Amino acid sequence: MLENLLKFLRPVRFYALLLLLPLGWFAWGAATGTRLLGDDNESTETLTAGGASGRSTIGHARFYHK
Amino acid sequence: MSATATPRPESAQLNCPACGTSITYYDVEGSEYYACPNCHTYFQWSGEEKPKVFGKYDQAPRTSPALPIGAVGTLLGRMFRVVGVVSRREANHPQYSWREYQLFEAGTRQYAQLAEFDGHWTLIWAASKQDADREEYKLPDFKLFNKYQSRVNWALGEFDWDIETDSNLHVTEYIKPPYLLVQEQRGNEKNWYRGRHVAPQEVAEAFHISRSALPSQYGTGAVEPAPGSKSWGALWALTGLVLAALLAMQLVLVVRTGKPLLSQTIQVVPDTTAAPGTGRVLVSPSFTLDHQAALQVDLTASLSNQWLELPVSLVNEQTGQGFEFTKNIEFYSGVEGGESWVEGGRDADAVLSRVPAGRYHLNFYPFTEKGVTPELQVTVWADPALPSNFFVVAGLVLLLPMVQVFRRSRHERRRWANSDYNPYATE
Repeated sequence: MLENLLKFLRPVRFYALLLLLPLGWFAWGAATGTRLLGDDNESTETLTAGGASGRSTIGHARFYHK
Repeated sequence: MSATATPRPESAQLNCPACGTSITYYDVEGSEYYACPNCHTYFQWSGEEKPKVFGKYDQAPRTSPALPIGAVGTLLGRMFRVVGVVSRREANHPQYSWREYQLFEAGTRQYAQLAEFDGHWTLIWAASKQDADREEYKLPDFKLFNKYQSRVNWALGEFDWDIETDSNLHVTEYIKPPYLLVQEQRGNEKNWYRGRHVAPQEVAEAFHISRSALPSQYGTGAVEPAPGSKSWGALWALTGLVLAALLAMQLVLVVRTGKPLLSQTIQVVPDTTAAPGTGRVLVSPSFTLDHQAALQVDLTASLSNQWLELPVSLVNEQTGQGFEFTKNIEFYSGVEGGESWVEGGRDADAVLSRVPAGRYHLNFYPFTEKGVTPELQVTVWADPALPSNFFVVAGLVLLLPMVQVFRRSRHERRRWANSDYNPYATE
């Protein structure tokens, strides 16, 4: 059965390899805890962790830490 | 006792009764009608002393047809020789004109026809009992494409029937690309023919001529396969498999999310020392993240026709590293003209990617209208399922299939534009 499936998929074997890229990207996002289109972090200190998205609005520039 | 067979001559010559040009013909026993390649006189000759001349095709081109008379080629594993060419037009739509190349297979003495319309080629042969049950030629699977009667524009070469009598034929074409079924009806007599699309490259290779020597293609052929037809089933099968795998991974991620790291209700308290509307800094209880993960912070504010601007910072208590985001929450509702309305919402959420393991708390810096002190429900989740990741990657996986759907749809519309039975026609 698997042999038949592979034979059937033979015309798209190179495309199947190409699809490993988005699947790998998804797996990487899941493994590292990354939202692929960017997160809501606005901190310049930790922006590299995920990058900012357009979802949030910029608020007050007041930062207090405990 | 042995019989000695007389070898059948491969070709013979006769002279055109009008211009005297020597005409080579190849179906020595079968051919009876001829169109002179020089003066285009159409005549019948079956061995009698004087050929019967019917007339002359004045519209015949001066240049040689794309496949010259006498050319030999191998198509679908059969060796054919081009012995004649007929240019025809539809009786009711004379703008539709095509060429039919008569192909003679000397070994079997059978004929096939290679039809060319707007640079699109179809090999057509008489249906036979031998291939009556072939799965690809079941009539119910075909769609009616065209009904017409034809007229001859011009002809060259030899024929084993009177091509002019074809004007009485009622032709019906059915298609299931790349296959074609043709019914020719004369009175109560019906004959069926089968056809298959042939790519120009196949024609060029079969007859050892340059692809550029063949007519340029316009539009879509009646039985020209749609783009990606050979891999269409495999493409969707693969897409289905990949989407199923992706969905399975996403379900695992949904299950993985588990319990919240923090679930707390906090009351906004006005800061009397600051500007009106400013709330005191609120600090959540600490929580521990035991591995690097994405964090999702869900916020629900008890607002009623009010707004709240809420900068939030997530602070790592060991390293001081901070993540920040701001949410504007506003909720308005009322009744106007007897109808209730709602604007905005009480909920907001934020996602922070790749938050390192450690002990954290949240700081809130609320700012709202003077005198408003809403209650804030805060929930923090580690490893949220991040559905946007799923949809982004699913979109990428579906990109090529969708492009192919668009291309095939466009292809089909162009194909049917040449048909009186166009399912896409709006009138």
